[in-house]
This record gives sequence, structure tokens and C-alpha cells, in this order.
Amino acid sequence: MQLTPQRPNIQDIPAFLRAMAEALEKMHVEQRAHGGIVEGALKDWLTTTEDSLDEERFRAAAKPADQLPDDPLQADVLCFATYCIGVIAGTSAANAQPFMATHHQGKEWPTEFLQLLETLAKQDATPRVSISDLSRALSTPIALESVLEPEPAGNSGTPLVKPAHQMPAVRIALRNATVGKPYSYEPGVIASKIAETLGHDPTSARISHLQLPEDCGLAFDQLTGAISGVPTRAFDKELSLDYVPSLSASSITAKVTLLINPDPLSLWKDLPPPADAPYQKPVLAHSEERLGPYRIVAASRRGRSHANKSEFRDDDYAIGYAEETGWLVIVVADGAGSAIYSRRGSQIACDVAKTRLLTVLNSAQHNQAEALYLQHRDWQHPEVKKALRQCLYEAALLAHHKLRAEVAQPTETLAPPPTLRNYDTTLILLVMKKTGEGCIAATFSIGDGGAGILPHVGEGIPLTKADSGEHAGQTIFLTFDSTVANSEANLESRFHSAHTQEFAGALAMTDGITDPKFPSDAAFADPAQWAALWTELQPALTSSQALLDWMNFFSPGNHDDRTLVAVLPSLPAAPDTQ
Amino acid sequence: MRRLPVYLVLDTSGSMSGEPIQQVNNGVQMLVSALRQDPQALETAFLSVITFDSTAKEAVPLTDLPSFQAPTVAATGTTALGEALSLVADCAKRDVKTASATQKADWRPMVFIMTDGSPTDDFQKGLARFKKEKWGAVVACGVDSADVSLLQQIAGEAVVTLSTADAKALEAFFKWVTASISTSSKSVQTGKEVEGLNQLPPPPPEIQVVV
Repeated sequence: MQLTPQRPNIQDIPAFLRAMAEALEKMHVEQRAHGGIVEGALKDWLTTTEDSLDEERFRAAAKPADQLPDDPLQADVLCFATYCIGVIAGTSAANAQPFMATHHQGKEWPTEFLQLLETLAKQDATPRVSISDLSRALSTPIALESVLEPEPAGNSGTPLVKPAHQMPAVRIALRNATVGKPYSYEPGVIASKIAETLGHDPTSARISHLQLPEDCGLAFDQLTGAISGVPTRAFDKELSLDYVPSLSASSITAKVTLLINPDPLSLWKDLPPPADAPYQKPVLAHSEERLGPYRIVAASRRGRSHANKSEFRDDDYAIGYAEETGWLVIVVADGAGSAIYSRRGSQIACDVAKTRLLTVLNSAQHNQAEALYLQHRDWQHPEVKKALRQCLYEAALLAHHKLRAEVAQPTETLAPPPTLRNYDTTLILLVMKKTGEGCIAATFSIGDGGAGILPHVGEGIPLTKADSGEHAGQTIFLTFDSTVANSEANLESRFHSAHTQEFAGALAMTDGITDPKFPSDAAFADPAQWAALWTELQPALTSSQALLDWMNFFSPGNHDDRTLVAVLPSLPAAPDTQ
Repeated sequence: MRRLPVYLVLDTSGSMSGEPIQQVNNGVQMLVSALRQDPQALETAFLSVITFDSTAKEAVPLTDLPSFQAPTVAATGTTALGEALSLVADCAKRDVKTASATQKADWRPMVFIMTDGSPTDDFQKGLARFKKEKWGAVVACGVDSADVSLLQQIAGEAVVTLSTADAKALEAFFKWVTASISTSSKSVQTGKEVEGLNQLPPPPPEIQVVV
């Protein structure tokens, strides 16, 4: 192409190019083209002393595309692109280096436009770029909240192109929407905002046309200018809108960005954990059984955050019953997601602690708490409580040492050799025994999650205090020496007990349940919140499968593994006496 | 819900004009689009953009990812990095929830600071204010002539440099920031805090880690 591109003698080159692109675009819509003629025509525009584009004359030179040889529409695009490159790069096209978009990025030319030119300049592999693409890319975006290119003040000269092109390009960003969440703009709001931005009278402004994406769930009311609906699919593209400033004015087309976020629920993937990894563990576990005077319903399920990344369930639980003495043992543990073998850590912790507690509590010889109770006839007697505390502590300590033993001699072949922190896990021990209509319950806990007992359905007593720091994610684990230190302060902070006159139920849970169900420490300490959770759980406690299903509830931002063990009276509870 | 606050502190001084600022705008846009595809980030990450030239300003206050709209920033003026450090500290103090009886704590905030120059204001004063807040990951990115020793005072060893302010390097930087936020929002669920560069994904080759 034999252009001698120089900057034409006009003030606003981008506007001039925009006008030319739009004129070509209209022409192409009508299946008309300049074809080979455009080159000469463009030369004329370049050398002319006129400072505006005479659109009529420009378009009059076009011919029906089917009367022109080869690919006239594409020929127009290439000619126009070459002309733009000449104007932008400011060098003779014949001597120019290959046009590089990155050399010309700045405030004057939109990046996308430069990139399209670069694509067109590579003549060996030219993908099809339409004049509409170029025209759209050329339109400088202007945010609704801050107009970057206000209407030129005191524009006394000839308009660049007659008539509507004197308006600056307007870009409007609508508030973001999300799939499944109701979304609306009140009647007239959008028009008023554009009017304010452009300095028009908002009372007579209106939107004459806005094509929302098809089947997106949102509708635009032509009559009132309102948008409403519930989005059904994600969307992130530009739309166009026709804005009419007043009854007598012609419309202005503005670019509109509308972003519809996907429903987070639809983005979660459910990927199986790697089959060749050590320490396999099923992603779901559940059980229900009758043990002595209790019915126990338990379930543990992998969290969405783990399923999304093909990771294992790191939670675990264990249940046991001492037949001789009537003690029930519940253990739940939450392996730290950051620790690669925490699924094994939680499993060891549960099994070891449960076995140890059963052995001790079921033995007349070793069950000091029982012996002291027979002496004092009071579960709240300091000596009785201390014996219970010691029993629980020793179970945790033994679990800690079993983790150390696993590190020294892993039960599976691991490479590289593991460290203790690879097995990070929390631990909640809950033991209880029926006493008349009520029961004695005691806990020892390390880390987060929690346990509590409900004397009757209207009230719960929390029996643990979570270890958490000033910021999220700061918890501690059974693997820390400090958590199993044999100091009065440590043991006292981890042990809790209660002796109730009635019994309706008890719960032990990992933080996958406590985080969404108890939004604060104050909520965890509130007896009514426990009652609310208990009520919510009732339909789910009919079977462990029902509990597993319930556990799949969706709570934004709460997608950790979830484990819950519920203890209920085996026989229907006595009528609530409160 | 526990939020992951993320502050992007961006140099918009005159020396960034042209290609670099264009790429910063594209980078932020790209970062947000990519994060929206990560369900964890979509639910937990909150973004704020703080820009600094002759003064520092909160271009976008801390906003949940679904509502966030990327700003278009222009380059002009000098390099008030000190003021930007004070401002991001003030914002974090105001925004980030710490644990109390009635609320669960947010994750410790992440900060990504990007600059191509040396501060033209009272840097030490801003640095002292910045150091009073508790941060998760703090990453400083020096572009071209940035004073690396000052950035190390802000971010310790977590200082990266871009060899040139070209499109590829900046794009790589924003991709890496995206991956870092994704990683951290994942750790939101798994109880592991991200505190240093070694817990973030490895930076791409375009980014030099300063040691």
C-alpha cells in the first residue's frame, strides 16, 4: 500500500479515525465497500486541508461489495489499518519496523485497538478483523462515575462528523450482579446518572434501548428504564445502550459493562483424592448405633475446599462405650489442611485416645474418677474432677506420643521422611455417663471445633473453649508440646465438665460445623444458640445418612471438612420439665 | 465469615505513564477476572486499591470480589510512597476485623506494593506507621529503577523486581499475585497462614527475587 502517512491537519485525530471507522462500519453493514478505491480516497482525506470527515462524500464513493473484486471488505480494513499505523507510528509505512502495539501504549490509543493493528500488520498470518472490531476498540472508555473526556466546551468549529459524533464516547459500568441473587435498577436511575455525568437535565433523559444478554434472567423495561430479575448465568462483556438526553434530541450510543458473577456454588469441583497417595481415607464416613442408654448418630464429610483441589478428608471421629461402667467415649479431630498427612494424624489421635479412654474408664482398677466418686458421692468434688481430667489428659498425651512414633516409623512408605508437623491435628475428647435422669460429661480439647451438652432441648452448655488467635487461622495442634504440657494452667484451660439433672443430647463437632453455626465466641457461649442448632438438627438425626446430607449445607466462606457426633437418649426423652 | 483482605498499593507517579500504567490497569482487570473463577477467592477475598503519586488515595475501598470494579488509573506527579504506607496501614486498622467475643477474626491482610521510583516524601514516617499493623504476606515489587533497599525495609525478603516495565513482565507479576491470593484464600479453609514469600507460589522467571 502506497500511503505517505502524516498526521492530518486536524485537531482531534482519534475522533477523526473513529468517525472514519464508523462510516466504514455503516458502509459494510450495507454490504458496500470502497475496495481498491479506498486507498485513493484515504489519501484524499489525508492531503485535504479540511479538518473533518465529510461522511456523506466518503460514503458516496462506496460500491456494492459484490461488484468489487477479491475481498473488498477486508481490503478496506487493511487500508484503514495501514493508514492508522502510519498516523500512530508517524513513519513511512515502507521503511517502518513491524508495528508493535507495546511501543505506542499510553493514554491516546486504547490497547485493544493497538493490538488489532499489530495483528493486521503481520500480513503472513492475518486473522479476520472486521471494521466493527476496530471501531469498537477505538472508542475510548469513560467511566460513569468520572468522565474522563467531558464534552468539548465552546465547540464552535464544524463538528467532526455530523450529527451525533460530537458526543464523547460514554462508558457506563453497571453494578455487578451475581447468579441467583435478585438484581435491580429502579426506573430512570441509569438515564439520570448518565445525564448527570454529561451535564444534561436528568428529568427529560431516558434510555431508548438496552439489549441485555439473552436468557440471562435480567430484563430491561423499555417504558420505565428499570432493570430487574434474578441472573441465571455468568456474563462479562460489553453491551450497548441508546441514551436520549431530551425529547427533541437524537440518541447517543454508549458502551455498558455488565458483570454477572457466577454462583460460587457452581464453581466448586468434586474431585476424588489421588488413589496412589499414602494414608487413603474415604471422603465420607457415617455411623449410627445404640450404646447402653444412648443412641449415637455420627457423620464426617470432606469439605468443598478439599474436594475442589482433589484433597483428602482430614477430619476423623471415633466412638466407644465402656460396657462395665457405662462411660461413653466420643473423639473428634480435625487434621490441619496445611499438613500433608494430617488425615492420618486425626485418625491416629481418634483411635488412640478412644482406646485408651475405654481401657481406663472400663477398669475398676484404673478408673480413679469412678472410685473417688463412690467415696465422695459428688461428681463436682475437686478430687473427682481432677481424676477425670487426668484420665482425659493422659489419653491426649498418649495420642501425641503415637504421632511421634508414626513420624519415627511411618506405617506407610513415605518420601521424604515425615515431620511431626505433617500430622497436625486438633483433638476433642468427650466422655459422659448417665446419672439418674441427667449425666456427667467432661471434655479435654486442643485447637478449635467444640463440644457441648443439652440438659433439655431449650438450652445447651458449651463444654470447650476454642484455641484461636487475634486473626483467623491461628490455632494450635496436638503436635505442639505446649498443648500436652503437664502444667496446671494448661490442663485447667483444656478441661471442662458439667453434671446435669436432665439429658436431651450432646454434640461434638469440628470447626467445619462450629464456624458456620456459631458465628462468634459469644454465640458459642449462648445456650439459646445451642438449642437452635439442636432444633435444626432434629430431622437430620433420624439416620446417619440424613446427617451426612444435612452436612452438605452451603455457607459462604465455610467449606472445611465437617464432622459431627450427636448423642441422644436411646429412649424417648422424658417430657421437657422446663 | 472470615475475610481475606488484600491491598494493592500501586505507584501512579508520572514515571509510570504510557505503557506501564496501561499494563497496571490491564493487570488489575486480569487479576479480578481470574480470581472470580476461583470459588474460594470469590467468597472470601476482599480487594482494595490504593494509588500514590503526589499524594496517596484509596482508589477502591475494601470490597468483596463479586462487587469489585477495577478502577482505571492514570499516571501523574511524584512518588508519595511514605504516605501510601501510612494510608494502607490506616485502612487496614479500620477494615480488618480482629477476634473478639462477638466476631470472628479476618485473615491477616495481604499487601502488594508496586513502585518504579524512589519516594519523594517522608518514607521513614510512613514505614514506621506501616510496621505498627499486623500483616500476612507483604510483597514489594520494584520496577526498573526502584530503590530495592527501601523496599526491603517494607517487605523484608519478600521483594521482587521486574527487569523492565514491559507488558510481559507486568502481566507475569499480576498473574503471580493472582495465584498468591488464590493460594491464601485456600489456606483460609485449611488453617495455614501465609506469611512470607516461601509460602506463596514460586514467582515466574520475569520476576527477580531479591536476596
